[in-house]
Amino acid sequence: MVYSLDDTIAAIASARGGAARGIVRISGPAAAECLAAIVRRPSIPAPWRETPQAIVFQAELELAGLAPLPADVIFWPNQRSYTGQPAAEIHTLGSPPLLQHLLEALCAAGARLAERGEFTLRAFLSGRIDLTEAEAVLGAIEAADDRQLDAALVQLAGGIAEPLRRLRQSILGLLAHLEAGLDFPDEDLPFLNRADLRQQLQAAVAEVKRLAERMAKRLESSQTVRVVLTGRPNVGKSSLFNALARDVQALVSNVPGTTRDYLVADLDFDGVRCRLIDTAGIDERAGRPADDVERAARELAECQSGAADVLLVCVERGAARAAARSADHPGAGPCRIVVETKADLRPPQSASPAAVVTSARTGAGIAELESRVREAVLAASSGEGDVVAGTAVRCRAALQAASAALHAALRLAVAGGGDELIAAEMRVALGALGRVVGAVYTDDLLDQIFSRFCIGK
Amino acid sequence: MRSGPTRSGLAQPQRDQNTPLANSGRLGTNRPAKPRQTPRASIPRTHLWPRTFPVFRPNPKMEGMAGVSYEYDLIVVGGGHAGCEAALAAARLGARTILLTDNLDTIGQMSCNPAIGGVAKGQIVREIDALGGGMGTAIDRTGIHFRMLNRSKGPAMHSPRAQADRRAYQQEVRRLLEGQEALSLRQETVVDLVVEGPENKPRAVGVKVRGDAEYRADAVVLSTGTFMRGRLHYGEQTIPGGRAAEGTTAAVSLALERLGFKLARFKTGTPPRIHGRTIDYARAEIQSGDDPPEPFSFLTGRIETEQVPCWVVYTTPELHQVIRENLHRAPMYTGQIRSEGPRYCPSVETKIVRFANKDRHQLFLEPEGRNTAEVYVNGLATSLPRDVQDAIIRAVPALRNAEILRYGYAIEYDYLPPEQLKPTLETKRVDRLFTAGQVNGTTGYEEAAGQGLLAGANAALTLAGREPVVLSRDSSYLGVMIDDLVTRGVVEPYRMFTSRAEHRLRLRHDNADRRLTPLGHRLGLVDDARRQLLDRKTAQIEQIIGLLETTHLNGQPLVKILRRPETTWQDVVDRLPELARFPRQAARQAASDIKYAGYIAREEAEVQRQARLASRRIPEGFDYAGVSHLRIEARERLARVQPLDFAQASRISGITPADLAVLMVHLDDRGRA
Repeated sequence: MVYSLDDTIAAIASARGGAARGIVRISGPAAAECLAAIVRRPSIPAPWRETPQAIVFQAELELAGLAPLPADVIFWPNQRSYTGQPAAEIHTLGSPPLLQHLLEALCAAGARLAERGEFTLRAFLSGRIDLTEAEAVLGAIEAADDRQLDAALVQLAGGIAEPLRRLRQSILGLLAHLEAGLDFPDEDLPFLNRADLRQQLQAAVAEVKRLAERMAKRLESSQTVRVVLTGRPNVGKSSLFNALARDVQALVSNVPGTTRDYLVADLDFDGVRCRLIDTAGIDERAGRPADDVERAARELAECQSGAADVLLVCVERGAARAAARSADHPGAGPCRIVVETKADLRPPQSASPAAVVTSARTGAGIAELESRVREAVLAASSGEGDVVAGTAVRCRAALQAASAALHAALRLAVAGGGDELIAAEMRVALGALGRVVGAVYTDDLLDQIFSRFCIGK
Repeated sequence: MRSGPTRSGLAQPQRDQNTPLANSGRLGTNRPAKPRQTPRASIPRTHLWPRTFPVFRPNPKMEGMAGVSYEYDLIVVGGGHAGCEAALAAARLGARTILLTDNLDTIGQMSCNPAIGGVAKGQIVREIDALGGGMGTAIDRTGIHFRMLNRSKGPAMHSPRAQADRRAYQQEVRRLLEGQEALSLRQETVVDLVVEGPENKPRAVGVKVRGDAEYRADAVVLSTGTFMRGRLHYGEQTIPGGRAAEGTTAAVSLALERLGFKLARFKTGTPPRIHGRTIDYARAEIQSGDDPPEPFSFLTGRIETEQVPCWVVYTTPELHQVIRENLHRAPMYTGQIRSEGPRYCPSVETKIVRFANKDRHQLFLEPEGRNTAEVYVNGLATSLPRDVQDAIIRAVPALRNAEILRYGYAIEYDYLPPEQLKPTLETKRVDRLFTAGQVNGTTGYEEAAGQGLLAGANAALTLAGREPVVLSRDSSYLGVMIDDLVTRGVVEPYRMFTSRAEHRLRLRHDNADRRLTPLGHRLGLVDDARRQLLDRKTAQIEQIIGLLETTHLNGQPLVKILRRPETTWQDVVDRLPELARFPRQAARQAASDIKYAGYIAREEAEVQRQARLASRRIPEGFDYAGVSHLRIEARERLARVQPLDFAQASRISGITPADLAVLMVHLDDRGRA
């Protein structure tokens, strides 16, 4: 995925829905031209081309077929914007059709609709934000609900980088001790004995473990909830899948891997997100010899339902009672919702109260099912998280590497291994942590050595 | 601009300094610009030049009143540690070389402490030796106190160091130079650089010397040390000079500035030297050298020279008080010295100010030679006035009655910020002009010598139309140093530390020959004898490792047992007495290889990653201003360094992975277009 940075991009930057104020943002070389195309008056205050700072002015927007629209415009004519490109923000009334109209006008003037996260990508590429911040912003965009959004905002404020930096600093300080001993053996330096070294390494190991645990908890909570359709072949799962995923057909894709694939769609039920997975049917009639392909598909399906947070158990009309009994069964495992399919084919019978009766063809019961799924997803995604998934994954990998290296350093320190080997392990740990906060250690290390110790003859 | 030929250098300070030398190759001579009468076409330009080339006798040509012109392949300016190795290396490659120095008696002079080696520096000396350089053998023949530093640490940290007999060392280096075929020495003071070619791409073709003579060559190596606009500080007094009791020149600085180079200033310092007869050794701690002393050169069998001890004393509260009371007279603190000095080699006044809570500092009393009573007081570098130095010395119990022979001083000097160099040490601005040593912002004899060797070799290789040599960071400390210099620049005089080398476990002193001698031999820097010595040793190492792999103890191969931290070489020799018959050097290398094998294998991924990045070249002279999406700061940094490839670009400080991604996308686009 390579976006051209030469395009001028535009997007609605304010929250969806009828907020009082709406914001449309544009960025790119033609930002000024796009702006000029919709601003009726005043014209952009001169001399804007030379102005490095943002220009803020009140304007009237002219949109075809509409009365002049009042707006506040913030315009960064040069590189000082968030994206490092000419950029503008137009603050106006929050009416969605109006903002849509405004966006269309900008596109007519040469902009294109921004891809998700594209502003952030530009900000990152221009060095305006570091990777942790970039991921936090992307996280805010991707945030599945308000809880995750809060998490992303906390992270943006430096919530995650700070403990990592402190940990890194303490390892760096310890390494400086070792390195000074290695590089300046003839100096009269304060002696770091093995007991102190071990103790400090142990403290670092403990801190890494603590951070890793925190991270792991958050990682779990920020993972997308998986809703899996299951049931015998031909029960109507795929029709149900298509009915639920009707708005996101473009996202439906074949996931390759076996001859009989499974289908995935990312759904958004009023702001609550989940991943819907359609498995191959499981034919449980005894005595029927399964061929290899079918067996593979069944294994895959079982694997999917095993990892499910919410199971949609599809049964044909009338078969719901037996299924419902197991659905009501409390305890561990995924939440189960029994769905009676093909309601249009059979006359109404005594439906199980727990089951949702649907017809993919007529659309009956689909709304009720959506609402049930939404509740189940919300229940399944409980747990706190203040770290966005992407950063969490990266942090976890880095912390694992750092933890392994620090353990190795500790083992060496106990077994009487050389200082240069302990230092090598600590450098690996620092490198891993540095990749998260985006820092290198070479210069830091010499600074630490020279500021702490009186070196030199 | 100029109506006619002028004379250059100090004699003509009125010359328009904004005029680049590039306009005229004959600048400064009143010879008419015309093709040379005696082309040297008869000498083939290949590395197959006969090693037995007869000593070249230059042919002085008198032309009118203009003075004299001499012709060589290569001119080396300066006879310090960089210049000597440069001249030796170039001559070994067959280039007819002349080394010009102000004073033939100060060739190979140790301006500061009389010692070679030290942590990381000792490894560099071994690397110089592995490439056929002279420093290792010179110190082996003249060392008077050898010590392997860091012996209590692992083998990668072991670093040879030796006190030299200063005078003997100098004479030995001079003898090496005099014995080198194709190399001439001459006492001359260089006052100007001569360049030819278009103004935007000038080429160095020679130098002018005081007294209206000119030396012409196809390349010039500049290794002028601290002699460019040197200024000595003794307390409130300042004296122009490149070293105590020696002159300095502004001419070379001016020539470089006229050519468009940026120069900057550094400071360094040296301690007083005292009379050994006036030291009360009973009040000092003795520090003996190793017995037997371990040589620097892979060629040296054993060191026969009689060894002498060094002594350790400490500063006292009284001494600290003297300094604190006289800080108002210290050039470091009065603003008289403004340039940056090395943090790792602070003056004693700096130590006492910055580390006020430390109640004593070590001082090493190092003899300057076996035929002199002069003693170097290592740790007491200072630019305080004479009377304060007297008082400081007397505040040390062992030195209560000591007499100073030479006062300590600080020196400020011009250097050429090394981002202006290619990784070959050729300047970016002027073709065939190479610089090496302290002039590049480094400090230390070893650092200087290493750069000299590579600059001299690359100049000679370039003249022969061959590919110059650039050492990688995983091959050698020399590679680390030059990459640091040209990629990251310097903020203080650059000294090598092992912590600068991310692959230091493989950059050991014991394996410098295996790392570099094969390359040196391929290039022609190393003779067959040295190569054969290495081949024999390599075979022995393989035999040893083979034996350890096939001999088992309790079901485990010895090689695995030796890898444990607690197992020593002696432990395995006890199990396998056969090992004792192998020479020490081979056994040591085999043991180090085994001890570090796991770590080195793990580093390999990063080495490979860097190699992959290094294979993505960036076109020479690439215009970063044209990459519109690159941050302005990144553009400026990249344009300044002009990295050869993405690996070097990734090491520039302040260049982020995102910058590299933008650059890669841009270059790929260009490639497709």
